[in-house]
Amino acid sequence: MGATTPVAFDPNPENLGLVVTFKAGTAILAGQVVAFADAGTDYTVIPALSTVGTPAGVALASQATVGGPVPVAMNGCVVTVMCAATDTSIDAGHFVSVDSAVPGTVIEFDPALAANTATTDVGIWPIGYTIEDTTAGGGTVGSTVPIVINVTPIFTAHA
Amino acid sequence: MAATTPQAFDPDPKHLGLVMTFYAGSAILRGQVVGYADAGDTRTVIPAISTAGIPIGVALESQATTGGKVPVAMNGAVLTVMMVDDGSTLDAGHWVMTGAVAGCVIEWAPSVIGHVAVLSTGAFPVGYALKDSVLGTATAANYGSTVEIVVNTCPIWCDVN
Repeated sequence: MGATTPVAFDPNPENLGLVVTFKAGTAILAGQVVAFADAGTDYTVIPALSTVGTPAGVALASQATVGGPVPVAMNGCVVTVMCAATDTSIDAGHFVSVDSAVPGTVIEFDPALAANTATTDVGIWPIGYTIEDTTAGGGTVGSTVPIVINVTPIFTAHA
Repeated sequence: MAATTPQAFDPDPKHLGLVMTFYAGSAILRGQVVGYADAGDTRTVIPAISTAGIPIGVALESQATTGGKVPVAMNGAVLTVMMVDDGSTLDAGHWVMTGAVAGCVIEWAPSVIGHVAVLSTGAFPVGYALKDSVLGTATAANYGSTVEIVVNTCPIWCDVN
C-alpha cells in the first residue's frame, strides 16, 4: 500500500449540480476535495482533511495563489475523486469521507459515531457515495472512483 | 393491514434533479426505490430493501432484463413512492427509509444501529414527505399507501465500537 501524493487531476465531471466559486485559503489542486477551515472564513476553502473543517465539494481547477478563485463542484455533481492510498478498494454504492492524512483525498466512510462534541466543525465527514467500484492507482497516485457529491453533517454520541 | 405487493406504478415526478442511467442487477419495477447491493457492482442497482445495500433513488421505468438500462431519479427529484403496506400512514415533512418490502418505504427511525465496521447495508433515509400519505387498497394485488417525497439520500450512523 502506498500513500497518495496529492496531484492535480481531471475530476471529469459527468454531471454538474451546484457549482460555486470560492477563494483558495491555501494552494488547491484540481480534483481535490476541499473544505472550510475549522474556524472557517467567508467563501474560503482548503484541501479537506478530517482535522480541518466541513467539506464543501471538489475543486474543478487548480489554484496556487492564496485568495485566488477556485470553482467547486458541490451537492448534485458527479465527479471522480482520488483515494488516500494506491490500493484503496471501495465497492460501488458505499459512502466515502475525508481522510485523516492525505489532503483532498477520500476513504470509505466509517459510520461509527464520534465521541460527544458540542459543535461539529472538524471530523470525518461524508462527502458522497460511489457509483462504481474503485480503480486501483499506482506509484504515488491513489485509487480513483466517481462519486455523487452528497455532503451531510456528522453526528456524535450523546453527552 | 396488508403488505404491499411490489408492482409498477407511475412515480409522477413533479421535479427532476439528478437523473442517471444504471444497469438493473435484477428485475426492477417502475416507481420502486432502487439502490446498490451490499457488495455493489459498478452502476448496477436493485430494488432497495433494508437488508440490501444503499438506496440512491427511484426507478422512472421498469426493467425486466438483468443488465438492461433503467433511468433513476436521484437527489433533488420530487416524486411519489409506495409504502410497505396499504395502511401505512405518514405525515408531511417526515423522513422515509427503506423497509422490508422491495422498493417500498416506511417512516424513518432515527435510532443509531449497533456498531458495524462498514456501512454497506441498513435502513437508509430516502427522502422526506411533502404531503401526508394516501392510503392504499387491500385488493388481490395489494397496493401500498403512496406519498410524495423529495429524494434526499444520506448515510446512517452506528454506535461507537
